[in-house]
Amino acid sequence: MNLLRFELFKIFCKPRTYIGFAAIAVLVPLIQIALYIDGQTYIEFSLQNLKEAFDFQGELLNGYLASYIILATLYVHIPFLIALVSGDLLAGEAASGTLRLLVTRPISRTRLVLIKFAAAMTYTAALILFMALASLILGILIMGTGDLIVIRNTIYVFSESDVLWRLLSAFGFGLVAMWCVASLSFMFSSFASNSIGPIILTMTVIISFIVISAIDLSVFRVIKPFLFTTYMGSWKLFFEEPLALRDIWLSTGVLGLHILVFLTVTIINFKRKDILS
Amino acid sequence: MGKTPVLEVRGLRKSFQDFEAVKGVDFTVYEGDIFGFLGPNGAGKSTTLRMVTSLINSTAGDIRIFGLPLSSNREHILSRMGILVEKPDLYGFLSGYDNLSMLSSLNGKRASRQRIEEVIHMVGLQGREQDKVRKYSQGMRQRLGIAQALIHDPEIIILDEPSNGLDPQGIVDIRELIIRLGREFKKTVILSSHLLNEVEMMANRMVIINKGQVTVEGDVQELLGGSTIKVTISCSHPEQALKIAAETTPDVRIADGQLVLEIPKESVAKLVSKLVANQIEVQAVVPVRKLEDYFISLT
Repeated sequence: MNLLRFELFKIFCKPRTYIGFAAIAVLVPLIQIALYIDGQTYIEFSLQNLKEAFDFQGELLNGYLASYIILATLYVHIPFLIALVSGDLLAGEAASGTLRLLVTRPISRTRLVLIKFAAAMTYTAALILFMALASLILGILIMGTGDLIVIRNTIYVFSESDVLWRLLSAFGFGLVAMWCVASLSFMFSSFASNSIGPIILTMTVIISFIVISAIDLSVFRVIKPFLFTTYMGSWKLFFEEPLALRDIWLSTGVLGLHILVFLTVTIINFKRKDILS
Repeated sequence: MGKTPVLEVRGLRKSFQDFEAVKGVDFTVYEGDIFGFLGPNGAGKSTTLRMVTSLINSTAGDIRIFGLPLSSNREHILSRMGILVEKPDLYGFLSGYDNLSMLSSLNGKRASRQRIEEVIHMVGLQGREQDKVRKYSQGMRQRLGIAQALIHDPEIIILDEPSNGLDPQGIVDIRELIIRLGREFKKTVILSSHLLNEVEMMANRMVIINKGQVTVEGDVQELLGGSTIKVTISCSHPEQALKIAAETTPDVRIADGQLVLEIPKESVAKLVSKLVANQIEVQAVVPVRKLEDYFISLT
């Protein structure tokens, strides 16, 4: 525990750690206020084709809808904010020369990697928790609660009492997805001697995979099931009825497996690595 | 009874792709040694030290520390070693005190406040220990780097260029500290330095590495000529002084108007008295760096 505390202390002593929290602290209220001001138009636009067939009653613009929209932005900027810290954990110490201090201590390299990995996971969890709390608390304070309408292949309407657990579960799933991103940049960090490389590489991989997934070509359709980014969007499954539990578990399992593989590669690489910095 | 070897290096090799940086190095460090580790730039000195401290893996060869193979006893061995390799990079956003406290926790047990203060005093950082390390001068960082190597009271201390960045007083302080570590605290110190006169003053044994191989290993005094000392004497009548000195040693000559001679250490004072008694004004007696001559002749 001492060692994990030391790692977390180091993480939270660095200004870059707060960039993520600052970005969320700015972005979440911005989206909430924008929705509060202009949300009704947004909803009218989204439902314009359905209004002929359905009669919508009640307050559709509420804190839950705002949180749902914020959740959808998770995959845009949060991976970068996470890579900023987890990509720095090994490479940053190599660049500053402090890795020598750590590696010459009576602690195995495997343990050192595991402690840093645990610190990366803790940081990611703190960031997602902050995002979840900020979006839910602020959304409810500004716009109150209400039913949630989700339009996907079909229209789902969740009653007010049925929404909160779905949002919390979706944020929970989002955390697993972001742990996968953190593990990837942490793995790249073990190969690098400065933190710029792992951050750029992580973003390159995620953007490339998302682009491959988005283009509907038969070649890409074959690859798609093997890309971890395919499973990152499965948080949406919590907003279906009946709940596709099998698919949720499958996505969680695939992401978990990726985390395990990334961590194993990190350990093997770091154990063999010559510390030349 | 012979001295106990605490570090034995046999047939150590390291290749980086096609380049062989260390080509079968052998040397032994005994308990209580202050061991000079010398070599010109690019000789393989740092690579060897990095292998001994487990920073890099060897391509071939054997490193035994405290009689145990390093490869299979890494954590146990490192718990008994204090290491400062190359420049002392510490956490700039932490104070000197917090750096020592945090780093000591990686040794298994966080050092007590008393131990941290003791080490801070040893390296002469008292009064500045609460300052952030980013505000430290290079010399202060060097002192803190040495402190972190001493914090867990190790048996072997490896110091790579410990005088780097220090002012003349700092160099003297660190030299005295290293000598104290060896004589008073009975530590084994492995010292890599390019300041050859420093090594000459501190080390009892040494190894010189050149082009990835050991050129020489042994007792410093034996290698440098034992009980004699090489000095230059600036005086008023060099020709007359030469004749007087020649009565004490045959190894005497005049160079640049100064007397250059090698004589037994205990004879220096007698010779100076003799010169003064013969109305020769002695302006300076300067020891010549014998290790420097020796080093240059070998590398």
